[in-house]
Amino acid sequence: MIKLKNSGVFHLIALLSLFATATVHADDMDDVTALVNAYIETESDLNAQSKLMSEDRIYIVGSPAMRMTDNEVNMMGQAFGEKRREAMDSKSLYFATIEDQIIRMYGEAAVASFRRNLNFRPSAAGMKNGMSNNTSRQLVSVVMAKVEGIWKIVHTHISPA
Amino acid sequence: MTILKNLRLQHLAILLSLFATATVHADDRSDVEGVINAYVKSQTLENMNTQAKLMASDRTYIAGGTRYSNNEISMAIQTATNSVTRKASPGIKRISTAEDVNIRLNGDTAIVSFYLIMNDINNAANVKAGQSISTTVHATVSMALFKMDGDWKIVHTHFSPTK
Repeated sequence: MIKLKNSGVFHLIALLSLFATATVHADDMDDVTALVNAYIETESDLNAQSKLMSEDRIYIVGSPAMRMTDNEVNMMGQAFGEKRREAMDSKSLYFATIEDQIIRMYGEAAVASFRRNLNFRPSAAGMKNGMSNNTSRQLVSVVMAKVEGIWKIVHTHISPA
Repeated sequence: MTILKNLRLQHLAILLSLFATATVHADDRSDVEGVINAYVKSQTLENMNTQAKLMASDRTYIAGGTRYSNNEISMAIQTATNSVTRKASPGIKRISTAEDVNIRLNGDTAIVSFYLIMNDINNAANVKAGQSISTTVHATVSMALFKMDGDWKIVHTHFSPTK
C-alpha cells in the first residue's frame, strides 16, 4: 500500500515537473516574442530601442554589408539619422512592420528571423519639398540571450530582401 | 586556530572556483573557434556532410535574400549546386578563408561574425578558353551557436554581400 502511495506521489511530481518545464518554456517564448515586437515598435524611438539590447550587441547591416562591434557608437550614428529625419519633416511617418516571423528557442538563447519593411511616408509639406514614399524591404536575424534573467538582443543582422 | 584554517580553506575554494570558471570560458571560446574553423575549412565544393554535422538540425539560414527554415533541404540544395559546378568544370576548387573573426560569449550562446572570402579556382582548360583564373565572393557572415548536450552547434547563419 505504501509502495502504491509512493508511486502515486512520484507520478504526481513527474507530472508537475513536466507542467513547470512547459510553463517556463511558454513564458520564455512569450518574453522573446514581446522583445521582438518591442524592437519593431521602437524603430522610430531609438533611445527606447537601445534599452532592449545588451551593451555588446553586434550589428551587421547594408549591402555591401558592414559590421559594427561597438553598439554605443552604432546607436549614436542611428540616433543622428533619426534626428535628421525629424528635422527634415517632423510630421512624416516612419514605421516598421514584419512578416513571416520564425522564433527558435535554445535554452537561454533564441533566434528570430523575419521579413521587415521600413516604411517612410512624408507629410504633404515633405512631398512638396521633393520627398516621396519609400519602403525598404529586409531580411532580419535577431539573436537574443537571457542575461541575468532578462532577455536581451545580443545580435542583429539585416540584409536586403 | 580553527577559524583561521576555515578562512584559508574558504579563500582556497574561492580561488579554485574562479580558476575553474576562467578555464570553462577559455575552453568554450576555443571550442567555438574550433567549430568556426571547421565550418570555413568545409566551405568547399565537395559534399556538405561534414559541414552539416556542425549544425543543429533546425538551423535557420539566410543567404542571397532568402531564408531557409528547413536545414535538411537547405544543405541538399547546396550539395546539389556544388555537384553541378564540379561536373560543369571538372577540377575546379573552392578554398575559403575567414578574416576578423569576432566571438562574443553569453553563457551557452555564442555570437560569431567574420568576413568570409570564397575563392573558386578555375581549371586549366577553362582558363585556356579565356575564363578567369579565379572568382572570389566576399560575404559578411554572422552565426549563432548554442551549447547542446556539451557540444557547440550552429543554430543560425546569415550571409550578406560584402562587395
